[in-house]
Amino acid sequence: MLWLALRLPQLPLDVFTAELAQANGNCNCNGDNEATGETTSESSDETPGDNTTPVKKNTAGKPPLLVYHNLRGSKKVLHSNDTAEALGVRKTMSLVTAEALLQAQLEEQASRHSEHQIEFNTEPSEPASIEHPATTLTNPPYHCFERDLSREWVALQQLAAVCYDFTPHVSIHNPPPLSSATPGPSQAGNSKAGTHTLDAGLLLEISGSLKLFKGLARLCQLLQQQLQPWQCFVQIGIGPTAEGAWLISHSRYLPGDHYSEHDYLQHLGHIHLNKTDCFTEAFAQLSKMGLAQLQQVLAMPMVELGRRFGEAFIHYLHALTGKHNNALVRKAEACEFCSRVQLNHPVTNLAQLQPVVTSLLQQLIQFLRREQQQCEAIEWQLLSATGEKKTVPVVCQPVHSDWQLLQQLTSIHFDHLSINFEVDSVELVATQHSHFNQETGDLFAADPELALNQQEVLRRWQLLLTRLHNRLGNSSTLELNPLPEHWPEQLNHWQTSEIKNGKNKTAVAEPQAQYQADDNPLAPRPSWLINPPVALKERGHQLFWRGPLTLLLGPERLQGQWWLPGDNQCRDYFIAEQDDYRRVWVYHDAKQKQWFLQGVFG
Amino acid sequence: MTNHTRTTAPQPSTAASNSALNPVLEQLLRRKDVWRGHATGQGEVIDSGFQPLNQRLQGGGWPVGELIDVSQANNGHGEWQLFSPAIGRLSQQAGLVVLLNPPALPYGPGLAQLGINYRALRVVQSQERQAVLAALVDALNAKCCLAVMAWEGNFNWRYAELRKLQLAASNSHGLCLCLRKDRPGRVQSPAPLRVRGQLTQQGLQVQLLKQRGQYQPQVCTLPTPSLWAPNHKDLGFNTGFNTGFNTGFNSGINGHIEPSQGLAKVLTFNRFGQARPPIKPAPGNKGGQ
Repeated sequence: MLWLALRLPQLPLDVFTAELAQANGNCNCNGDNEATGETTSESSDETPGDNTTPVKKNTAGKPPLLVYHNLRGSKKVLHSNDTAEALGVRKTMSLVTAEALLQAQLEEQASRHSEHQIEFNTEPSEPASIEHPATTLTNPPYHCFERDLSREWVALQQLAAVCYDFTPHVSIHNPPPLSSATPGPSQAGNSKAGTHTLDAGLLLEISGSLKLFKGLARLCQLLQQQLQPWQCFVQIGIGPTAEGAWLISHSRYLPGDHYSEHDYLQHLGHIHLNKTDCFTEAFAQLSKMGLAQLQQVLAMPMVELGRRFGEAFIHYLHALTGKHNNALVRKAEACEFCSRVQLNHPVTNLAQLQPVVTSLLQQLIQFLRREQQQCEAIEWQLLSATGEKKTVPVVCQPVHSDWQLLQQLTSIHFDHLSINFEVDSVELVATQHSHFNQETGDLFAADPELALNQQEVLRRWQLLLTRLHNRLGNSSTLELNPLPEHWPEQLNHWQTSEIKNGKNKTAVAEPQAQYQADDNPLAPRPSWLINPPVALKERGHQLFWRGPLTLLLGPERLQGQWWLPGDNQCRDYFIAEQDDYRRVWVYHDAKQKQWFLQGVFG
Repeated sequence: MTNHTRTTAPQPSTAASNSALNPVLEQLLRRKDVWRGHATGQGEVIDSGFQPLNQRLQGGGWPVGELIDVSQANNGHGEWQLFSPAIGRLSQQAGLVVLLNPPALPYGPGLAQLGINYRALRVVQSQERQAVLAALVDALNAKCCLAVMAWEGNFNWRYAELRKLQLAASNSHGLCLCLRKDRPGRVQSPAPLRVRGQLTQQGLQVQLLKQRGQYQPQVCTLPTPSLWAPNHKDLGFNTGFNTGFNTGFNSGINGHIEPSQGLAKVLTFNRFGQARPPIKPAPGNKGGQ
């Protein structure tokens, strides 16, 4: 296995940096270089148009930005951008101090700037200083935000989604300690913001992707390009284990296409002990003993280390060196799809929602492909600005990539939907989804357009059934499943057809596994069954049902279920004929002493 | 489809001369829904299972991909009897037979006796007019249905709706049957083939009211399935052995039915021809006539 770690040490700051850049429309190359930080600078000679400039030089023109957190009741600076650091702001500095410092420094800079303009301005009429006052008026001189764990979680999810393009094995390392797995408007996680200072990041198992992406170097380059729009400061590490890759991301070890275990161990050994974020107490004790780098720890006898710090510590060291590797298990992450689009103007004609529907369904398909899921039911929610809501559930056969089918099924509902409010926003929720179950096709199957086979019929029937369920309801379609019963009304069991997912899909008919209803081929049976049976009128030794009936043939006695209390029935069946020569199936119930009509020979 | 029961109708005699026609006209004449006088259609047909009927049907069978309008005096007047040979053969293939709003639920053993694989049947029920039409069009376009039988019920479909069904049927590759009751004010049908079924004393009388290339209605009578009740009332063989009570009704049953001690079906019909000397059939008159 080969692991790639994406460490995001400035994620609390980056989530605000990207947001401010979007708000200001600041998409220049300098900003991109700063965002990708050290990893971008390493690959800058391969990326066209990427200026190789030091990070600190690229911060010109950007307002100072700092993120603070509540640490035991006092507000401390957690992260600050380079502009703020250039002005003297440091981590763990008190927020009050940092703000005062920034204010003073910025005022001083402004005064210097104005003096400079007055001194060198040869054309007094030119408004050379307009830019700076305008900037200070429209934009604050510096930005100061409290850490937002919810935004960090969302950003991590988005970055993980990007990484799914490279490998299916993506996991979030050191996620922000939110109260729930899904991000929401609740800010409950912020109460823990002060205690969580570990770097968040992503871990990718990429051994199976190297051939597809033509080598490790190209994969890393593509990954960095994909991450560029997020403007995150990323440190990449490559290692044989997840633990090793995560730790070596401190050392900026990018081996290119020639990865060797020797180089890896050499770089790993030079990592300082205070860089570790696992077993911090153990490493702190080792530091007190005079050890500084990891190679010194690895050189010590493992037995002795185990006695002092426990087996888990030894296990961790073995994982770092690649001697122990955990099984690759894709974690079952809680993945839900819920996306909402706010309309530019209220809509009453649902046909105008078509572009929005298409867009949301394509988002859903992207989610399903990324998470390797299939969707069996979705739900549309049409919301008004005043809080009115209309929910439209749509059932479907398992869908993995066919958004056109979902669009057609949605149209079935929307075409006949009447709403009495103006739709302000549209929300799509995947209410039912499961792991994608890929079907095995027949390599030498005949062309389905030329000859129908059972699998093709089943597939098309499922498509038709999906449409019927959406048009007519889930109980509108029936199929016959005869039961081994004596009484015709019990034998003739019609059950509701269900949309089958890929797991319990069976052939249309399995005669050997089902009850054969035609067990008495000599006795005539009607083609229609009347259930419940219709009581016949008797008048003067004559039976009547829509006219007089004439018994033609019979009887055939059905008697059974004597083991059931009160159900010892005895029926004598006859074939009778009506005035219009239509033949019916009647019986005389000996227990009730009553004649009934139960079938029609069509 | 590779189906030995399906045949292609012979090409019209004027086909050879089409090469000299205008290309637009030639393209127009390729359409199945262009009436060409006595010339038969070019579409596929399915053997109806009845020789007299095949001789009267254009192409020698039920047309495939066309709406067949079947009118009946009432439900039960021979719809299964008329179409069971064709549907029975179709149901043995890979495909489904969809019944839309049937008057009752079909009885599996009864259909099995007619040769229909009831496991291929699907019943669709709905009381919403537009939804039913849309579902019917969906079924015809699904290309998994070998036959679609739709009962009009109380909908009284309009001409435009029937025309819509005809267009949908022309895209399908199976039988498309529209079963309607004879009633006053019944609208004309755009179906290329209109059939009327009526049970008579001699059997099922089938009238071909309309089909392409036909000027006068044609009539033929089909025999009742042999397994169904024969046209006699002498059940002495059956009653002499088993019956233990006198029904006393207007029938030929005069014996007594002995109560059986069996668990389930204890008496079955003793039919003629089962190692038994033939019995002279009784006259076909009924008690009411």
